[in-house]
Amino acid sequence: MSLLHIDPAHLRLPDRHQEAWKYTDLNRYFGTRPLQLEAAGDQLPPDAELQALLACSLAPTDGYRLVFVDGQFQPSSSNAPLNPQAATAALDGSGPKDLQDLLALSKLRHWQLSIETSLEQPLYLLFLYRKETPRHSNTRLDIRLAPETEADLVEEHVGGAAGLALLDLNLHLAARARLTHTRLQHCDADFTLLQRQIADLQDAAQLRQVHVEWGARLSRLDARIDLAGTAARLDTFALSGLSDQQHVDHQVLVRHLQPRAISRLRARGIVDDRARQVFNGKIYVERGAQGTDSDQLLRNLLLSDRAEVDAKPELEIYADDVRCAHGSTVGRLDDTALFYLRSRGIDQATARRLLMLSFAEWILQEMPQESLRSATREAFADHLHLRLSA
Amino acid sequence: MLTIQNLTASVQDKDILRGINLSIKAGEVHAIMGPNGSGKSTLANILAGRESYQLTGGKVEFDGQNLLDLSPEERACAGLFLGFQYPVEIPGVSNMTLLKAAVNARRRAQDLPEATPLELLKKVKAAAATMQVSDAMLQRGVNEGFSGGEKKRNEILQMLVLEPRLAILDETDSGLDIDALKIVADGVNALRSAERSVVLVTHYQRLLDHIKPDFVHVLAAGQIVESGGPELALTLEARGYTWLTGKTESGA
Repeated sequence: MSLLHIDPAHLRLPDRHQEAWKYTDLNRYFGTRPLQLEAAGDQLPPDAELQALLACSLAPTDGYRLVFVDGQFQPSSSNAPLNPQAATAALDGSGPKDLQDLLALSKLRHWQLSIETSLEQPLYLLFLYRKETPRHSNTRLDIRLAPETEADLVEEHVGGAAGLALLDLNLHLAARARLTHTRLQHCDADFTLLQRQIADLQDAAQLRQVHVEWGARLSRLDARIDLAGTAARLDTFALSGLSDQQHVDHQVLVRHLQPRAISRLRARGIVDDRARQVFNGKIYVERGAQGTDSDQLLRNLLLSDRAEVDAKPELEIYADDVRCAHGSTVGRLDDTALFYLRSRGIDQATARRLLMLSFAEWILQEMPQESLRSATREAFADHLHLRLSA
Repeated sequence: MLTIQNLTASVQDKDILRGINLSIKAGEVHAIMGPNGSGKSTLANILAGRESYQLTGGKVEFDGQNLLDLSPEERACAGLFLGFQYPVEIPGVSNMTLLKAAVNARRRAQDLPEATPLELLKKVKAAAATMQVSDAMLQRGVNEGFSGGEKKRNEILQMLVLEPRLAILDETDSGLDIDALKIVADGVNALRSAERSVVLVTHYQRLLDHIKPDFVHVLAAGQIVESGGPELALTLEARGYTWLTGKTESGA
């Protein structure tokens, strides 16, 4: 066991001078927090602790489960017909340069999961982070879907106290593979999660993602999704509900590399108190990617004068026969809808809560599983104190 | 029940209401007619408490209370209901959730215990049967994906469940085909009683074939320029609103 006292002054961390980190200055962030973290170990957590963490999960117990504790796969808690294999092959490249100092502090756990045949049941990837001593972990999981396979994957992040996790979760969809990928992040209020996702979709592959985040102190997602085959399709829905000083930053790059691919991106955020929501969505259309059909719509609700939203949709197009659209709005609750509810006798505070739930529902309704959707809706509502008293 | 005295209001410094006087007794049905832009909808919205207008003068008394002092929700709890010209879609909040919250808000204001789920369900089912609203529609989000006619039927359904003392229906007949118009009229007639009053704001006479008003008022350029019995609506239908244009100018 090694307890690290990290002096942020000795780390090179990305800061606001780098465009991609403009609104998430890690130098400043870690400068105000003690970085005294224990490296995630190989030993199993005591059973009581594991059970307590599992109890925080919203995932139903009847699907396939793969449980990771601080990035370490736990076969004894898992029940899926397939297990991730520890990768022994040397890593390609050297990892993200901007986070290299952080990566160097922790041992990488690298897993590979190959889905060769379609899964009958949803597969839950539970990423549990121990709460006892703040830890740091560094995990990479590469998931490959064989041609024409289908899977329903749910990735959930829970726990963590004041720890720090780095996670690369990469998706490779072979031709005509279809993946539904739900990502739920409701870690402890002091947790830091820095996640990357590189996905590639081959011919006619389909990826449908729903991201819902309402936890952690800072959560960053760097996603690059390559529509690398013709007629591939990507649908991404993202929702965050932030309060206090929470900070969520999504940097999403969608690359249309071949003709006739479709991408749809819908992101919504509800931002209260002094929280901050950053969303940078970029659509890149390669020369020759004719017939590209792509749009992104960002909508955010600001609930407090001190809350902040930085939303930037971007387009970079090198093909000529394309349909690309983007839009971004930041607003407050709709006055007419508020009046409508109040005219029915509903007090202003309750009416506001109902409208916020309605705003969130646009994304939540895209979650494929009914039971998980309603559990998520309740947890999300509780976090923003939206639960109705009556 | 409702007394409006010399009510004036403006939007962005443009006078919309220029001295409205109107008195409505319990049990009465009043129709307020008038050309587009005459201030009909403004009046309906101001009575329900919409805040986007500047009230520049006048008094409104509802059951002995100064109505203009009350918030929209207090007015609703006191028994006032506005049927919207353009009902709002609120996806993700089911019709049942809205009805439950609305019924119980009113009950709390009256110091009554909350409705039991069974009581509420019975009431909603009865109203849904009258308004021909299906269970599937009730389970959906408020007005979510409803056609224009379905939205108007849903407004009247809410009215039947809430049993207001005074219902103000703002162009509830607009955009309805004849079958839907009859259903809406049946709903309004079901609510009529000696204790309840209804104000029908409408552009056309045809709704009044199905809901017979006690009084008809013509609003033009922010003033009531003519009042009479049901026969006034027929005159308007025959002669059009231009017949009254002269009266507006002499009144100004």
